[in-house]
Amino acid sequence: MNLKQPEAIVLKRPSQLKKYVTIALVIIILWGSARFANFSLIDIIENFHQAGRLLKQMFGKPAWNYAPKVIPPLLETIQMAIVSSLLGAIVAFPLALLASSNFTENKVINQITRFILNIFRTIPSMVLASLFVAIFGSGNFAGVAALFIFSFGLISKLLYESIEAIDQGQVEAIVSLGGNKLTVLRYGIVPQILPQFISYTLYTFEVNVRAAAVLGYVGAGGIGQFYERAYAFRYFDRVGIIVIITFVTVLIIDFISSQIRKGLV
Amino acid sequence: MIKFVNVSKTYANGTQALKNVNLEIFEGEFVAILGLSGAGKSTLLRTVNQIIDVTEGHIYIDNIDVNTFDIYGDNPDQMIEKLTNKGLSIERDKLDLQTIDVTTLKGKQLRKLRKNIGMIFQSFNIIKRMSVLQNVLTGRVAYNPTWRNILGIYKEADKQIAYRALKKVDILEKTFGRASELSGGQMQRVAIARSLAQEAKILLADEPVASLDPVTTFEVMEFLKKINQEDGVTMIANLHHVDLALKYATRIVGIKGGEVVYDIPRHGKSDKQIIKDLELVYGRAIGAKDFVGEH
Repeated sequence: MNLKQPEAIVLKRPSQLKKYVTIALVIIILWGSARFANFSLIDIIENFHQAGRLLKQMFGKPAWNYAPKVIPPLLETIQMAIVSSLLGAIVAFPLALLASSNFTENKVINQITRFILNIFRTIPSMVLASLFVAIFGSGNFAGVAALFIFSFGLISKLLYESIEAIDQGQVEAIVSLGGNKLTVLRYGIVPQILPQFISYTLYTFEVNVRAAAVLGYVGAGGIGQFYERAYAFRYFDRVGIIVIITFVTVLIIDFISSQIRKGLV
Repeated sequence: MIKFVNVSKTYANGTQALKNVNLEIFEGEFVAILGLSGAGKSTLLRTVNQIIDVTEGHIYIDNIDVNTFDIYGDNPDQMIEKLTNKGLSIERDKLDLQTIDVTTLKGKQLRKLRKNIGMIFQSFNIIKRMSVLQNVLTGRVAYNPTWRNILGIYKEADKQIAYRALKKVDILEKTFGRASELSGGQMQRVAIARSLAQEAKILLADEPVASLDPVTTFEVMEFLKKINQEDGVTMIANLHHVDLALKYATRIVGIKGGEVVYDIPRHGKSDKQIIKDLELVYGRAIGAKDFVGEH
């Protein structure tokens, strides 16, 4: 190679077509969706002052004297979240074991279990809640049932993925010691997944508190019912106080729960 | 005696790990299995306790009581005397000792057999989120009913066995500490204590020192030697390093491509001659990297 007169290196750039097609597609999808949903930026800007007026009604002078009445349904909401998360966790554990291929060495059972879990996890809890209100009548029970199903779907999915990711060596050690399936579970698997299991349950609890706060809208108990009533009667100062208290509570619960979860894993 | 007869193993993905292995291992031997990574050492070891099943062939173990599946070794009377001295009451007449092909065992029979066969691993495989004591007590799982194991409630006698095992590997002061806080060498000693608590008659050691530094390596090997000599535990160890095999084993078995290509009592030949022979097993010259210590 002659260093004094280097030849120009000519590289052929890969085609840019893919990039442009992608950008064009994204724009078309965005525009199409906006058209379909009758979305209009102009409407938003024109109605901005109305949103401002509503916010002023809600938070300008919240009905602080209404606050004591908000506390009992709020506690009820939290109770609903606690019960549904705990029940969900209890049911999720055996299902996660059935879904994980390293504990249940039967692909058919694994797949069937995962399929069932996916179905339960995919149905939005609002839809489930409406369904249970229709079946059991309005009230807390319908809400707890809806959140319970969502909870075990979520926890078992996260848990079985954790079980499949464990260090299989510890399992092998217990097998080599002559342990049976339950003993292997107790010593080879549980110690490895317990922190995650608790963490997932707490996370589900956080999600459930938020979900339980709006479930009342379909009559499934909790603070949402109070919100819906206040809104229907146009008591915007009460709506304001409900939103403030719910927001602060969710924030505090999220903070405490995530701190605990940080310490766990 | 453990007797491999024409043992072959082909994995589901088509890899043939063992090819027609014939091998006899006697009670009290310290057998070092040497060979390159992937030669089939780990597979061979795991066929003894049937964690891996064989595709073809048989593995016979002598003097297994057909009721308890306990192994009574090559000299049952001596073993019974030893166990009686330990405080166990064994009636010779009630034993029905037979040679059993362990590849035919399943379920409960297999678990009973495994009670007799300890195993230690390169990555220690102790339960890191439990205490040292709990780990050693898992050596007793096959002696206890499932409910005890699940609840983790152990008899005082089992705890005493665990303490003695920990004392033997010189780590009694860590009894109540968490296993995850131990160093590698300490973890392996806890794993050895677990096998001691198991009162294993055969100990399978799969690369027991491959994750350890040279100083700890010799410490751990000394404990294995002690268990082999003092307790008469038959030792089958996969090793990477030639000098460890020369120093500790009573017999060296070489594996290449799933076949036993070398099998010689340690004292039959000079070290130099054995090292020369091992070139056949490794398919290359034996160099400094095949030794832990200085050579």
